[in-house]
Amino acid sequence: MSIQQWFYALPLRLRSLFRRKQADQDLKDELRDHLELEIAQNLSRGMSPEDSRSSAVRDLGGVTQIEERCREARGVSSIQDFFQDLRYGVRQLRRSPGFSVLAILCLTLGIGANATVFSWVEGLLLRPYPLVAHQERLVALTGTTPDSENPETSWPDLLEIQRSCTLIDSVIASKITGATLSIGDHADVTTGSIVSANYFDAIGVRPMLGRGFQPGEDSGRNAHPIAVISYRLWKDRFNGDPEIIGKTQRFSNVVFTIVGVAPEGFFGTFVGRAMNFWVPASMEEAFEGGGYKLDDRGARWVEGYVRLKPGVTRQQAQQEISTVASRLEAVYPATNRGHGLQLWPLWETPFNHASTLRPTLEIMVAVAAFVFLIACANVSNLLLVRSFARRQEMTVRLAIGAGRGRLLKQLLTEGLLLSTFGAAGGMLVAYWCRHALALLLTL
Amino acid sequence: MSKPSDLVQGTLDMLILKILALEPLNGWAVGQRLKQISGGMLQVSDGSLYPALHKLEQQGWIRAEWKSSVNNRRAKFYSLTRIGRKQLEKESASWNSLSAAISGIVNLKEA
Repeated sequence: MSIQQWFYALPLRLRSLFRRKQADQDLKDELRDHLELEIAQNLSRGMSPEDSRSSAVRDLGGVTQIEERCREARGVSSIQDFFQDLRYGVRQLRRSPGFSVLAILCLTLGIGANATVFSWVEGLLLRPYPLVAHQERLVALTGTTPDSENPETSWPDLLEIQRSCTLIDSVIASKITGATLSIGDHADVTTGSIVSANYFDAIGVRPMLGRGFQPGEDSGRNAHPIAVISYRLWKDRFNGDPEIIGKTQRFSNVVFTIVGVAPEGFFGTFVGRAMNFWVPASMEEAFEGGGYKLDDRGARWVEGYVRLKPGVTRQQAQQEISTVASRLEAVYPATNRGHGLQLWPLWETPFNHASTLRPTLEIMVAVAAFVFLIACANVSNLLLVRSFARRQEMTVRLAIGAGRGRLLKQLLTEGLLLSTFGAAGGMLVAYWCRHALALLLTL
Repeated sequence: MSKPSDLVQGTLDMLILKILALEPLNGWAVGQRLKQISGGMLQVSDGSLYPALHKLEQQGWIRAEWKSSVNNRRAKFYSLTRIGRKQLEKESASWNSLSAAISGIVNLKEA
């Protein structure tokens, strides 16, 4: 319709939507007028009063049908019909609670299973690290060798990538490690990360207390004995001490100064493990065997991530990084011959549990899809059975003038109602189950 | 063979517009006028007249007003709007060319 047409039509539609009774009454009046005029004319032609009337009624046809067709012509009848169907649908559901509960339960199960699995997939494979910014631009970085699988890379190579690559924002080192932590009379082993100094800045996580690491704190042998601890460690082991910053703590027999507390809900960047502390790479020797490795291009121990610049694809960055790798091969044949560098999407990260979880999750997605299919089949069976029970109702409706399209609309609305309830239930299930995977896969 | 009274699909709208272009009328009178003018050739059932009127009103081509009629009773009168007049011109033009084309074919002299 053109704008000009709307100029006339809009007031009419609003009127028939919101002043429906008035509009219906007008229609009745109009048709009554018609009959009266027709009867008057018939009388003037000399018909008997009875004949005049019956002839007029016969000529006009079924008043109800005409009214219905006029309502349809008014164009808003579909909206009214929808609400009418909705009300009727709710009544139908309440009339047969057994059926309704069963059908909604089936849909809840099917939709819930799918939503749960997809939230796991999202949480573990697509955006695995809570609070970390722009994970869509984060890729994992490893070294490659022609023969063995050695997913690590060396610190000097990492620095070279940082220096030479124009397509990446930052290179982050994050190497899982463990430390004995004794506080008071209680000692246990906890998990943490050896990270580059740009770590917190690059992933966009700001410590809730104190600070992260500053440039340069990841260089110099054992030069920076400082640590950022996790919110959980702070709460559980330090009783949420507000004066924690500046206090010292032994990690594996080396005294560290605590400079920051990570925000609640940040668990580091390792799928399958929550990190409890972070130390700069300069302190690597205190946790890793084999001496100081930051100057050794042949020592491959770093696990890292690369943040791509916006709009850069992993393939483009890979090309650039491969060029760097071949240059390193040429310049440092003794340590780098045969060694490449490779970028991985987060869900294929070789050095954490992402790649081991992936097949499991793939199976879960398939299973959830089948559960959903089965649920749908069940619900359609239920609906089919009920449609037999409702045949009489449908026949009556057809007989009193409902169009087939109208009946179809009503049934679709009822279906929509069922699936809305099912979807709402499914969302609840997914919400309750979002952490359930952790229970299944305690690592 | 179809009856001559069967209206070509869509023609009813144009006829109503034309009749209302002459003078504003109520629904009953539109029906009467259709029968009169066509000399009884066009029998529009009253049942399809009203939905057609309402549809045209929704399209914005005609406008309805409640007015007192001759015997001082309230009645719903339809009249043509400005865009309705344009629509009528458009439809008449296309009808004329169509019917000219068809009669051209129908009146071909057989050899």
